[in-house]
Amino acid sequence: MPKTGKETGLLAKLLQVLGILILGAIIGVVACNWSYFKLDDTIEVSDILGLVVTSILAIYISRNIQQNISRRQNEYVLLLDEVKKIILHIEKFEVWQDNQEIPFEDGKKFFKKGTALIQECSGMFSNSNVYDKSDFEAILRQFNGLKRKCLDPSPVSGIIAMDARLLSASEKHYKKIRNLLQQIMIP
Amino acid sequence: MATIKIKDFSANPGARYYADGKYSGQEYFDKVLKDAYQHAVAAKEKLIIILDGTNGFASSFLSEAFGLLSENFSSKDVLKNIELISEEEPDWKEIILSNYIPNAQDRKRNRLAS
Repeated sequence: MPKTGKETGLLAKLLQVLGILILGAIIGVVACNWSYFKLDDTIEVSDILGLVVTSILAIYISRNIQQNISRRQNEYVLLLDEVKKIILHIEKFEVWQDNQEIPFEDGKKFFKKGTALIQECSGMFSNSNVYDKSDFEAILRQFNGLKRKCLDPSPVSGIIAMDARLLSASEKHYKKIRNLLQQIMIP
Repeated sequence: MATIKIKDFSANPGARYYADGKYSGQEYFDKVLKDAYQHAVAAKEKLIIILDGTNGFASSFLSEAFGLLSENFSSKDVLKNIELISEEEPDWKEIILSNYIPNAQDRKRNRLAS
């Protein structure tokens, strides 16, 4: 009866394992016969204990490192999501900068939502070992500075006109916010 | 303790002056804040002002409303007699207490000079 591909694969693996075992046995015999080191016939209890303790330590350390790495990775993925949300939100400001005007009602909502997003992000990572809370506080400070400058002039027909001074001041704050957000995103 | 919420005046507080449109800081001071403050002081109570619940503030609204309060009743007394609550945008509370109220007299002088 012809063999299927799956059976052939299994047989090949079995032969491979057998080959490795046979090779191991041969090397073992050769090593025992011509070994530079003398091998004891008995094993001390202290050696077994040492082996067990070393193995446990090795498993514990590797698991710990693995957990740390995966926690950092999870935090980083979460951070990226949150920072992207903030970037997506604040990018709306660029349109206003280009048009040199801020719609008054939209402006207030924009800054309120922006504050909430940054605060949420800051709270989320307040206990983080990876990210510093002060990073988010610096972003919030810049964002609040931008808010106060942009929402101080009186609107005319519901529009705040951005004069050269306001444009230049807002540009500085906005650039700093973008830079800080990008710095946080670098792992 | 007496409590007022700015959202009861308007969910969309406006800008600085009456001339800027509806629900300005000036209007809020004239129609709500001034009376509420006087009543609270007369009753020897602290006036609690809740900033949360609106669709955001313009700095001009807060600067005018609290600036006028400070110009009319002295910044020292105002700071003693009011308490601000702002969970949603805590920076407003900070700037009102550290800038808009204490610097109201300077603001008035500058306005009169110009």
